[in-house]
Amino acid sequence: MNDLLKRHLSPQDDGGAFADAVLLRAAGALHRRRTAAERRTVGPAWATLAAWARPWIIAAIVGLGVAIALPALQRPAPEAAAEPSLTADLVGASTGTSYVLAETLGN
Amino acid sequence: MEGDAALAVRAAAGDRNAFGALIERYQAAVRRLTRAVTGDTHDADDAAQDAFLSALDRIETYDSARPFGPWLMRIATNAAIDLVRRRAVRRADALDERSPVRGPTPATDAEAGEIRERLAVALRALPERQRVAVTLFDVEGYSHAEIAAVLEIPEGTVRSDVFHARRALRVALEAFDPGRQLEER
Repeated sequence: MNDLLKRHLSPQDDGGAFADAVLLRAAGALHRRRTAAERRTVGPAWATLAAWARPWIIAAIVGLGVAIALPALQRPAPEAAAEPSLTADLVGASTGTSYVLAETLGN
Repeated sequence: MEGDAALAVRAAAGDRNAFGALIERYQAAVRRLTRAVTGDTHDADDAAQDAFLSALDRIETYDSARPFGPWLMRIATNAAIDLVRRRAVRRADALDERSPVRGPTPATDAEAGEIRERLAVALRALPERQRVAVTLFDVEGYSHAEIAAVLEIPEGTVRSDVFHARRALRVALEAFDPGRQLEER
């Protein structure tokens, strides 16, 4: 009797047309669900990124700023150091010149 | 093969293929059940479509720790009963006018046609709940406990429903007498 009942109740088709009909009717609902799911996925991802990455972004910006500013701060130091040696050179040169002149004049 | 729960999760996210796979997997069982309740292939397919759409609509309520089949069958049962009641309100006399079987009956096999006719008449004579219970038990292989969960009735009531439905169908098939049935009507 079970087989008979099953045969009596079973659809006569393979179900393809039925599935297509249901999917057609469900197209709008599926689209709405996809959109909502995408929104749910993108939303938390952005929030996580914002919460997690913000200190790193700030640290990276500060680091970059320091890296750019440091050589600029260090540049005047060699210039200041160069001045005495230049003076010394000039003094040295003038001493040498005076010596040459004195020798020449002395002779 | 991907499990029902995984497919349900994907369908909930709007995955057409996942929902299509669930339809493919359960369409025959759902259509048999709705056919048992409505007694008509066209109404059965309408109710089955409504059931799948309703299932998609409330798929968040499905508990993935439990089997998907009974959950869907409950929705299908309700969809079929709702459709029968809507139709009854619209066309109060439709059940008497309509032929019990609209599906293709093999014209060449008169005996098979007669048995189908007997079965259809016997099924139609059963209360809705008994039709669902016997279909789920004998055709779909659900347990009494599962059917009790589907119909939200005690397990003992399901046993009783299945027993009475089987007896009625057996009587109808074994000792069918069209003349006597007409008299009884």
